[in-house]
Amino acid sequence: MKPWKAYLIMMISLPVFWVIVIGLFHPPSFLLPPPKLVIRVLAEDKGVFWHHTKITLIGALTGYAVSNFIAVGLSIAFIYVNWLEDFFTPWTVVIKNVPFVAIASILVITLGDTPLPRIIIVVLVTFFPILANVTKGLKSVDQVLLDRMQTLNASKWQVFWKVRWSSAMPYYIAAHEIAFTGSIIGAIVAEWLFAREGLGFLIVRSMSQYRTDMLFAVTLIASALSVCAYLSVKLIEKRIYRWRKEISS
Amino acid sequence: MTAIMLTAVHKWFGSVHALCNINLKVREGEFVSLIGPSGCGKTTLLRIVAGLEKPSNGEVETFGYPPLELCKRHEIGVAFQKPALLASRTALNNVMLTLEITGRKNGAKSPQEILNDFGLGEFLNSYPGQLSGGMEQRVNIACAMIHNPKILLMDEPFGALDMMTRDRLSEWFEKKVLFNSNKTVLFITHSVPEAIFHSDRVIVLSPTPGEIYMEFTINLPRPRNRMTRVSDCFLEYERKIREVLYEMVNGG
Repeated sequence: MKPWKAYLIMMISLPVFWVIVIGLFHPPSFLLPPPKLVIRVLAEDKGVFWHHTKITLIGALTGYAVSNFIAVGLSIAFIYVNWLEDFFTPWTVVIKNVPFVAIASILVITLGDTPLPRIIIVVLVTFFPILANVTKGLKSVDQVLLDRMQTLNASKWQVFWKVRWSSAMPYYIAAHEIAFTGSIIGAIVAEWLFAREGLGFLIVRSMSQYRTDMLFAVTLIASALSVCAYLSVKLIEKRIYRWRKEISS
Repeated sequence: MTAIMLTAVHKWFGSVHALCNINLKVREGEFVSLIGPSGCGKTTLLRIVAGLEKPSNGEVETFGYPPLELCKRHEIGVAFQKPALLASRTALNNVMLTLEITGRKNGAKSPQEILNDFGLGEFLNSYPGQLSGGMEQRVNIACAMIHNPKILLMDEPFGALDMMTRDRLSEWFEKKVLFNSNKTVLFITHSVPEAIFHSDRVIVLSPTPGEIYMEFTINLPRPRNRMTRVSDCFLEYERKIREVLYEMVNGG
């Protein structure tokens, strides 16, 4: 089955399933609002939703850019400075394993109600998959290619750009599949904890006001954002790795 | 002129004595094959000549320079046993990679011409994963010699292929690559007929530690072709070298 058909089926099935459940069990609308109510909320308050979505997206993308910059830079440094990986491993393990919800509270106290805690949390959520994958990719280069480069007297830059980076790209793309969607979830959770703007904030506000229609609307937007992030990575992967498809066909 | 000279070369890997007192002189334009059982240090010897390993003792010169100096001058081409190709580059772009690195515009031929010569004209834009093992090896050899190096080092380039493809590629190599070229070639193989077919000299290495056990000068007319393989002279060389190999492994 073509992937787009599977997505289409899912997108049609979800509201159908939703309507069936409402038709069968008649839950009160404050527990499970009907789709048309959620769509009406989305249409009526589109300005509000757009504003908060924009805030979340800016936070996620900024954090993600910072995360990529640091993680890719560090991965490259690991390859060329032997002791650096050993030195940083305990730090990366801590970053990966300390619950970011706890760190978030500390960040709010120390940094206040600014975009910075949100960006830092996105970095914490997305940093490790990028670092681990790119480092693995840069190391996975075939030794025979490195030998070929050495006998051709290739410069360090040539070896990196033409061989190592080419070999690492599939790993880097795989990291995006996890981390890019993670950046949106990270931003929302950060907002959920402390912000006064963004989709996470809308969730908290809707909960406190028992606005399930609003909650469902936010859930729809957040899910759509994450799915779009994932699909955009897949699209880039398909463009870059046309050769893989050609080989398999 | 002497192209490759090894004087009293030893190589140790920890406590393992891989190569012992290797003295070898290869003239410019000469084709020398190294043959011997697994673990006799053939690949190590080739890697030392390529500048990929340093000898523990002894001297190595390539056209009067240390191997690394000749690598800097882009005068050494290596065809590894496993094709050294980037999966994300087409056959043509893999060959061009050598020129990109060395900064040479072209060798004797352009990448398209060399791949055409190698019978890959229709596969210029194919990726390594789309090529057969034999085709990949031809691209691998093209990558090793597109910049027209003086020395070509080949580590069992046809080792992973079936016998028919191997014979076909050997004949192609003799006709398209070696004939009328003045390349100095150091060739590693496990196949006695392959060594005789290409070589001016066949050197038999003994295992653990790798030492030069015996040397055969092959006086067969060139160009060599399918008929060469079944000539009495060829078969006689094959018998002699096999006898030496059996004697060396079994102790007579």
